[in-house]
Amino acid sequence: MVAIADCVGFYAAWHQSTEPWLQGVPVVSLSNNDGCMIALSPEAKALGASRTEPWHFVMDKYVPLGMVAYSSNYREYQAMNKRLMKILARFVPRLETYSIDECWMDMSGVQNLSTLVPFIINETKKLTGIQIRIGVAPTKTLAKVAIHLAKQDPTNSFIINNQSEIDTALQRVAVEDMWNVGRQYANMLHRNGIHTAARLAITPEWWVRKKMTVVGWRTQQELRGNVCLKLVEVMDPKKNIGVGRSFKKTTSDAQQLIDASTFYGYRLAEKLREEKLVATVLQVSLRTNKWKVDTAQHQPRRIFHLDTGINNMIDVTRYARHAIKSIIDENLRNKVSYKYMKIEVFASGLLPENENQIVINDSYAAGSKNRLSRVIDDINLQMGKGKVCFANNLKAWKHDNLEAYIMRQQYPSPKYFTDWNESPLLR
Amino acid sequence: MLFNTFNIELQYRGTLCELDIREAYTSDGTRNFEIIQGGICILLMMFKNGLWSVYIVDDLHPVAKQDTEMFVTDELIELLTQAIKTYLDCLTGNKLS
Repeated sequence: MVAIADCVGFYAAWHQSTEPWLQGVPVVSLSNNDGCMIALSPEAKALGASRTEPWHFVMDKYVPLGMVAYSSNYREYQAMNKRLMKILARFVPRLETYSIDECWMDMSGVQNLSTLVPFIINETKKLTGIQIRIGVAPTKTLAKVAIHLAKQDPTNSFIINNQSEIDTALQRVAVEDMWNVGRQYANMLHRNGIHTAARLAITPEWWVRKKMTVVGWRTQQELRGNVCLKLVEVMDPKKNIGVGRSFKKTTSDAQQLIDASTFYGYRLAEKLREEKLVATVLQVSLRTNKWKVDTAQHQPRRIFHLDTGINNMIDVTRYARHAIKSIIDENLRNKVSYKYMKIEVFASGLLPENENQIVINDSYAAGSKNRLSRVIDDINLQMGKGKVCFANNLKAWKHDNLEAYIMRQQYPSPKYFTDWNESPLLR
Repeated sequence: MLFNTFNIELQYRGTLCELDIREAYTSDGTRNFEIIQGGICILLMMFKNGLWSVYIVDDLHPVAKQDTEMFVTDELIELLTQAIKTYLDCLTGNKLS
């Protein structure tokens, strides 16, 4: 048996759990740049709000009704996720973190599921203030079906134990609500008269393989109770990391592009060090606004394949700056000018720091640069982001100019668990 | 023995439906068609002496049977007979007559 635990409106629930006055208040969490509502508390859902609605369209409607919105606070959500996983890991022998608010739990051999599951839900709520739902079934896909049904259950849990319970549960789930069935597949299944998970489970295997490839076949096997997807306790390491952002206004200004490349190169190097990784491939790209069809389009990129992996800010920003300069020079040579909308600095070919290849006779000496980067990380951690930065980014880190580089957060919340300076004070 | 296989798309009850049609070979002048939806044969249609006979397949899984009973109506049968006739008469040399 396998269980999936899912937090109810996780981001919004985090805000409610850290601010007691928000209990019972409709709360929403907004996406990057405060664009759309991405997580809603049950009270917000009761007002009729739904996910992905653009906040600036609906704020006038919901704010007078008492709705409180917060910009996303990903570091805090991640910290809460770690706490949640630690708590849940106490109850089960094996656990796989699946996403920021979901995890799979191995329930094999557990006899008293009907008492354990409510106990886990109550304990988690007591220790974190976050409401979770749990679905238990013989396979991962069936567990996803169970958790879908748990949404309609007042106990926030649903257990599928045997074949007759599988059959009943599958009839209650539409194909578009199933795990691993996207919109295209759901439309195709509807066209072919397959509207429920129960009908998909009895569809001949040859047909499923032909129409939905091996991924669909696995889903079908799992619906029949045959385990195809096992618990993965050790996640694959990251394959690539990227940073970048659209400019507030399109620009062809060389200095602004170079400053942005330094800024994002610096951020990328920070991220690499946080993950204890080095990059052996760096890619820097610029993009014009593809929706402005009446303007000249240009998507130049520069790719650097490196013999030795790097993660120090001096080298990463050097490559980023070099790439932008070469693009600008090329444009000057060709006597063209483009208005760029977005810059991206992207690292791939990632390796763990301690497996970094050393090249014999190479004059490369990253040791001092790495040490300097670490010291700067420590200073910035204690004194605040951007306290030590490159001179040409001094302006970027000034508060009134920050919005041009860092995502807009008009409704911030304190970083109670990830920043000493913002932790709550007891008087 | 399989004689011919083709598929049709119908606009039925406001939605698009895809159906596979298999014609089985018979020697007594009857034209037999199996209507397959989502990989499962749900209907048998026979054409003899200018008349159609239609049956829902007997040994369907209960889930498929329930869906099929809700799906098959006189309107669907009318659409299917027209579609099969149009396909065979216009697009093949194997006319339905």
